[in-house]
Amino acid sequence: MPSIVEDRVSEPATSQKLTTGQPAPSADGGGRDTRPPRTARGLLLLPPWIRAPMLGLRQPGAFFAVAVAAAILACAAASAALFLSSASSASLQQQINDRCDNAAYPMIGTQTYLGPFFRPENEADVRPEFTAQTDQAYPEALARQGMDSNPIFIGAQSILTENGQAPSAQNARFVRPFYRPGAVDQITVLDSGSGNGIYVPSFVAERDQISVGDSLEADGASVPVVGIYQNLYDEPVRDFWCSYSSLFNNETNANTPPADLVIATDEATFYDLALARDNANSQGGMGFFDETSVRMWEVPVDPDTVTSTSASENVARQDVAFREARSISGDPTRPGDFREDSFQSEELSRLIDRSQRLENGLRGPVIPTAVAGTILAMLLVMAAGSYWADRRLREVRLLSSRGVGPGALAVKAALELVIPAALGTVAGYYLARGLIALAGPADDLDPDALRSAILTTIAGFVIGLILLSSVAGIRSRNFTEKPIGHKRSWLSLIPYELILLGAAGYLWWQLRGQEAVVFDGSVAQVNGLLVSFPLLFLAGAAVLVVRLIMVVLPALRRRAHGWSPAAFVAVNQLTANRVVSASLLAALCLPIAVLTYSATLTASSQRTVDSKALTSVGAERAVTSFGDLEATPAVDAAGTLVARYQAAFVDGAEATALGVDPADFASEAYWEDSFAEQDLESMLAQLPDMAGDRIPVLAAGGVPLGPITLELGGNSQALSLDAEVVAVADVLPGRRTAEPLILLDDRLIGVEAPQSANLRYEIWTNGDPEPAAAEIREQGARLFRVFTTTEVFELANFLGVSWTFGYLQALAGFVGVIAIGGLLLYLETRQRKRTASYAMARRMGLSRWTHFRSLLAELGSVLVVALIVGAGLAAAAIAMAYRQLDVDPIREPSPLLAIPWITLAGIAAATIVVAFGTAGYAQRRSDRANPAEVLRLGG
Amino acid sequence: MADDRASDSSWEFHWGDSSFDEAADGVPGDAPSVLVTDPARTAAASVIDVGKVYRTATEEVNALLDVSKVFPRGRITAIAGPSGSGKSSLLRILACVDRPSSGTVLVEGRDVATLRVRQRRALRRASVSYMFQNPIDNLVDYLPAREQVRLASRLRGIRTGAEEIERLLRVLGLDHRLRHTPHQLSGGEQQRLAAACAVIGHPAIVIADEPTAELDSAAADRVLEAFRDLRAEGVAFVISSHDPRVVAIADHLLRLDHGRVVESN
Repeated sequence: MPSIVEDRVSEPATSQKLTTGQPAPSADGGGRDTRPPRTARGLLLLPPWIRAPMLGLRQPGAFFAVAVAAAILACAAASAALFLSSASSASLQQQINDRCDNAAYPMIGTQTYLGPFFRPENEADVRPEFTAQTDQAYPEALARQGMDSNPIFIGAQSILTENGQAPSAQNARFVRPFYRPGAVDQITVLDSGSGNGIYVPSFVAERDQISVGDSLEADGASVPVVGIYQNLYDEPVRDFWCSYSSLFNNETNANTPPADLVIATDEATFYDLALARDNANSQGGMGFFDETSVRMWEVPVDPDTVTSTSASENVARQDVAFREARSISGDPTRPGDFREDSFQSEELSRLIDRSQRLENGLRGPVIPTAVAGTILAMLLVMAAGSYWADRRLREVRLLSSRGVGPGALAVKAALELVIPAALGTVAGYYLARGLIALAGPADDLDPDALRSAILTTIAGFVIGLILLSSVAGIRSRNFTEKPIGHKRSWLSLIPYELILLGAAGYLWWQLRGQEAVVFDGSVAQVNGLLVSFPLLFLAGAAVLVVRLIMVVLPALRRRAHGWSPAAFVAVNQLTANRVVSASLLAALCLPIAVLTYSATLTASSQRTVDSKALTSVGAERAVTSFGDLEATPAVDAAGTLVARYQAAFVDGAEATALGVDPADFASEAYWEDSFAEQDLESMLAQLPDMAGDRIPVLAAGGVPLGPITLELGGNSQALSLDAEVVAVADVLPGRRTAEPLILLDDRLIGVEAPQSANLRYEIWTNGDPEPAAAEIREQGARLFRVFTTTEVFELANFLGVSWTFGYLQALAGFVGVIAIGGLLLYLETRQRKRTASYAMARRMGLSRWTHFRSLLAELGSVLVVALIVGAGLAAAAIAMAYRQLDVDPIREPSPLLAIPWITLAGIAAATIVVAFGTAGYAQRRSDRANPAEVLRLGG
Repeated sequence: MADDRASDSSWEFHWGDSSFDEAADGVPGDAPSVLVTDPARTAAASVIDVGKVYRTATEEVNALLDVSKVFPRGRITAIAGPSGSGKSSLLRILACVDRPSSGTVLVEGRDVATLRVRQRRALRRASVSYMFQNPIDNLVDYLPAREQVRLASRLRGIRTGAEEIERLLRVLGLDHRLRHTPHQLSGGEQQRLAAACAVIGHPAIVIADEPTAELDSAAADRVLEAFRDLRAEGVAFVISSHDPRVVAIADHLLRLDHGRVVESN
């Protein structure tokens, strides 16, 4: 053999020249060169590459498949950044909405005496100068940051005087000057005149016999009364007054109510009163309180469009303005002048911090979820690349047979598909934005998030195109070069899904030692393990189950010989390419499992939160009072009366006791059958009859059955009762603390409880609280408040929990779309052979209806098995995970399971629709194909 | 340079070795056994004691057993045999897309069995042409005839002048179809155009898998006539076929059955 090679080397290269082309020069040293002098650039100048972008447009099937796949990929790649931003914005907006509008407003101000309070007598009064300076400097500092501000002036309490003299301390009457532009439009004006002056509340007008046109004298200053308005505490608080309600409502139940608010129509009127007050104080005559006037300038922003970025920018600009404003002369560091204290709003910073915590909490579970979705989308993109190779089989096989390698074929694929991929990517990006706007937490996105989303989308596009073209190139090469009849590598026999299951097991083990829901501040954050564990478990288990199903497919095929033609054809189609069928089955299992899992955990966490809130309140509402209440028909009609002994002791240990009416308590009290082995009615039925000489009670929180000593009140006057625990429950309604809860018939106590028992009466109701409130007033007691379930977790923010699982559900839906896309590609890829076999089968007498039924059986069986396997795997994951999802371990009950029947029904319906839809599609494609053409092309 | 040579003499005759002399004599069928004389100079390909085994999960199938044959330049070798006789396996090996399980396969003096995938691909690009059974599969559907040949030439790394291409197509009776795309051609024309693409750039060996199977009788005759004409290019034609007409025009015959050579001449 060597001689042959040597001989060939010695042969002149030109010896074989033909008119049909020049010979190839030598490229290796071992013989006549067989490598043409081609470069990648040279190849790109040939028609299959030059024309590639236009050729891509001539393949509508591949164009559509690639565009859709690229859109899904872009949607997945962009979704995380957009979702996190959306969640952050929504969290911020919700917090702002829960508060007053101006919680979102940048605001700076100064809290200072306006008079020369501590000024040495030999020093000039710089007060007017400083006042003018601040009035100018603060809004200008904001204006330099591009923020137009409105002033809000709140004076210190002024004492009403007559002829400059204050009445005695016992008869002192106070007013507080207030100025804010537009304030007069936000009151109910009872009488008004013209010109500048003050509006006084009707209470003051009636008490002091003041009319419009009179003057009001405070601290010796006299200002005209130009209007009388309805007392603000007599009407619902308007948004305008939201932040200032403490100026007119006695919210702290203080002995001395707030000073009456006199509203100045202009700044000058405000200063007339405020300066007079400080003058009086400085002279030591009429001042009573060490109060300062507050002047602040706020910048209104639309709370419904605020985003984390815009809020942070506002905070930053506010800070700059604040530092500039406080640096004017008259700074508090200047000794001997007057006290001055600048301030800026910190509310917005706190809200941003909370929303940032929520975003950080979401990041843990959302990022891996998005990555999983992106990887799945990339699989679809790769499938689209394979589909392209199938559609372009003739040309790529020809090129491959002529020695074109997979790299060059991949470049050709990339050039052909770059246009649909780019269009799909753009569409996918806007689809993601649209979905976030429509179904996301909020449609206000940060510019940073948009930039991030665009970058990840572009990265996804580039990686997707590389994967797409690589798969296309490799598959194109395989048309020619794929080895036939090679023994399967041992690498291909490894069940790689066990790695996923192993990883899932490890994460599960980790999760057991951690809280599934943690609180950062008061923001609930889902542990990322609660998301990554099921994703790995479901993916690994789905593949493993499908692998096992594959094992039985050949046996199914053997048994199919005696079945109906439709079943026989279906089984043969499924078993003809077991790998493809199995991949499809696994791909369909996954979204069903993830959707079931995430929907169940969402419903369960919501049910648990609701249950904890209802348990804490006792019913949907607890109308609480100060003062004694008696059970009357009216009370019974309004709800059920509960006496809450807040200071009770069971055998010396702290507890809470509820005195109830066993006859109607169960009708209003919240109850879940899982709370105890008996139902509530059965347990309550044991309460009215004494257990010997002991009072029968129900207990929750670790008190065992048997006799106990129940003390109501904690000092020497405590009422001690001999009681018998006749039934215990894990949870009893009305439990608001970690201590045990005792339930007893209130009538059996017999005597009045001591004051130290801290008794409060409540009327629990699931309906309108107003009748209960009316009855409280009717009995001469004072309504304290209506305690509702929403207040239980008022300070906690569970948005992160619901949004995390919401995102997971979105991913599942997304994967479902991917799986359906895969199903269609599966049909498309098999369509030529299917049509060929259909043409043959029709000639053998197979009816169209039988063929359709075979398609339905083929696709329906895959979908139904996917539904069963997916739901089963989800059930296993749920059983492992849901007990971990305790949003508040301190409060009872422990997590409750809620089955999302509507979602499950939706999945089942979607399965049926997809089965019929895809079967109909495949049948239509088979009908429309020209059998002669298909058969001529060899299937 | 090719154009210069073409202007010197008829395009059919440009060999500078023994094949040229034989072809010039106009009796290619009488060419001496290249193995006996100087296989290195005259054999485009040779297979020596080649075996091919396909392995499945449960069994091994011997597709080729001790097959030896030389495929000389300027000759047509027909490979015949029933289905499953090993024809396709042999063609795949000769086309450098597969390697033998045993034995030696030389294509232009290079042992295919020792080449890696990239090297086999390079060898295929420069020295091997493969014609699919279906004529349309051998052509790029959006290129006119002249561009088809030009593309084949460029893929082989050779720039061929327009005149040269037109002359080749004229010889094959396609000079009136220069601007026609494949779908505007008949099946026979498509296969002849495929033959032109196969021989352009002077590969060592052209492998054709049942080239007449999809054609009617007249078209098949014209294709075979084209092969006969192109034989003078010094290319070794290896044609797998059941068609007795192919066997009739072949210079050599290799008949296989169950992977073994049952007739060779």
